[in-house]
Amino acid sequence: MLGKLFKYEFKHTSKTMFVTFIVLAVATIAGSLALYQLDQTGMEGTFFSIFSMIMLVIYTIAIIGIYCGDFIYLCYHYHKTMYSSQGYLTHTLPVAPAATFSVKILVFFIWMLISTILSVLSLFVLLQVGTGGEFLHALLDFSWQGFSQDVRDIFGFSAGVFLIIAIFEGLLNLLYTILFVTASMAIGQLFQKNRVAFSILAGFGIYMANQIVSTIFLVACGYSTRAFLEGDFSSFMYSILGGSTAITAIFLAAFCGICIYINRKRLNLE
Amino acid sequence: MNTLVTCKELTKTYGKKTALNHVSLEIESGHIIGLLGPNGSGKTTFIKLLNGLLTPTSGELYVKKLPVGIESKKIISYLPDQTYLNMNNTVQDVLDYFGAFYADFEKDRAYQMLESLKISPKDKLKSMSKGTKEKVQLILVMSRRAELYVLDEPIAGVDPAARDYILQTILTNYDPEASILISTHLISDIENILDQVIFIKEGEICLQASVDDIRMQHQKSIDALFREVFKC
Repeated sequence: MLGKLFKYEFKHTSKTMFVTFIVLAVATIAGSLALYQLDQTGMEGTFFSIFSMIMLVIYTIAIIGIYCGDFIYLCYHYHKTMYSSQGYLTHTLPVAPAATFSVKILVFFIWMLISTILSVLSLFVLLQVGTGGEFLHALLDFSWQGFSQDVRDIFGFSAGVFLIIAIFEGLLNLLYTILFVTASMAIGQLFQKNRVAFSILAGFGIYMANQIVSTIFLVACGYSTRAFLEGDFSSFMYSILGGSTAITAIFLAAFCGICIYINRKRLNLE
Repeated sequence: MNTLVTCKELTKTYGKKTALNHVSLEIESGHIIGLLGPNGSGKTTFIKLLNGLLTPTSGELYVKKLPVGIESKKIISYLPDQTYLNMNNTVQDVLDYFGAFYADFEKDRAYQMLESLKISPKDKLKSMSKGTKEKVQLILVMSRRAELYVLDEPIAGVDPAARDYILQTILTNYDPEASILISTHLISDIENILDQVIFIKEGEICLQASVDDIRMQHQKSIDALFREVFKC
């Protein structure tokens, strides 16, 4: 059943997602040409330079808009298929609520990951074309050893570990954002009326709870880590990284628990 | 006959409003049962509880002696009182979807019904009229070999000619061993196909009896009795 759920969840979201990716590709081509034009002619007030500037502004708006749009669309899709009219079908399928939820979250996560990678790729293409191929040269000239040494000096671990941690934290935060929204929706649908408003309120409440816990942790770390006061930044970073990851993991577990519990025991499709 | 549904002291409240109040009843296999009551009497709430779309405030609800869950969803074919399909899909898409998730879904039967109604499987749902969408939903629901069909207001939004077709579809496509629970307030249209009725009033069951018994005892049609019981 999980395979079928995956297949249909991808199928039902793919059309809209591919459309946004095509728009991103078109925006990237237009933005790259505009940057190339500016690189060639400079910022003089000619028609082409003004046009190129406008194109670059449009590209910037497009890349941010598409990324946010993807996220909003996936939130909308989740809500529509879980707590709105299509929820009647979703929740009457002979499938465990936890399986339905897990598949929807995983598909959401994968699409957002693809969207993130494509956005970064788009920026890379823009800079590469816009600088006439100089950007890649600059990247290749980048001194990995120097960077690695800097990272080791600051954090006390290698650049490879630093990159792995950065990617892991990025993925964790993406998952956190998705589950934060879905948990807020799940809490909001417990109410009889004004469910969207209550979802937003729930989100605000969760945000406040996270801020309070994080602040308490930071204060505890800041005062208790003697190493920081003595200039040992790496030990301090270890405790901050470890602590914030633990807090995120705890909140993630809580979000999953809330969503699965509500979908299984407190579903309210009035 | 097997008992398909058992509910004991089932109560559902929405805030201060009680939608179902200590409802106890049993539904057996092999019957067409009318769940009859005016708007707001608790029919849809009961049906949603039966399908796991709502959770009871108190009481017990079992389908074939099991709590509402995956196993009950395997044997209940549910038609809600609203459109619940993805409007961007074609009819073919939803047939494939039902075929993938319901082991008892018979695609050939669905194609036959679509053909008799001249609905093309290639048509998109959003291009269809409200009545045609309802027919497609009914076809999907009745193409399952379910043990219990739960139809919430299946004839409310369609014209009288379509009502006849829908009722005929229901009658010709269900397994006699199965049961059908039809919720409606359009009693005269379905009276002839029912063999049991449940009258529900303000969240309470005020009558559960066979149609023959009611006619014998009250010397009235179900419609006439309904009008008497639910007189404003």
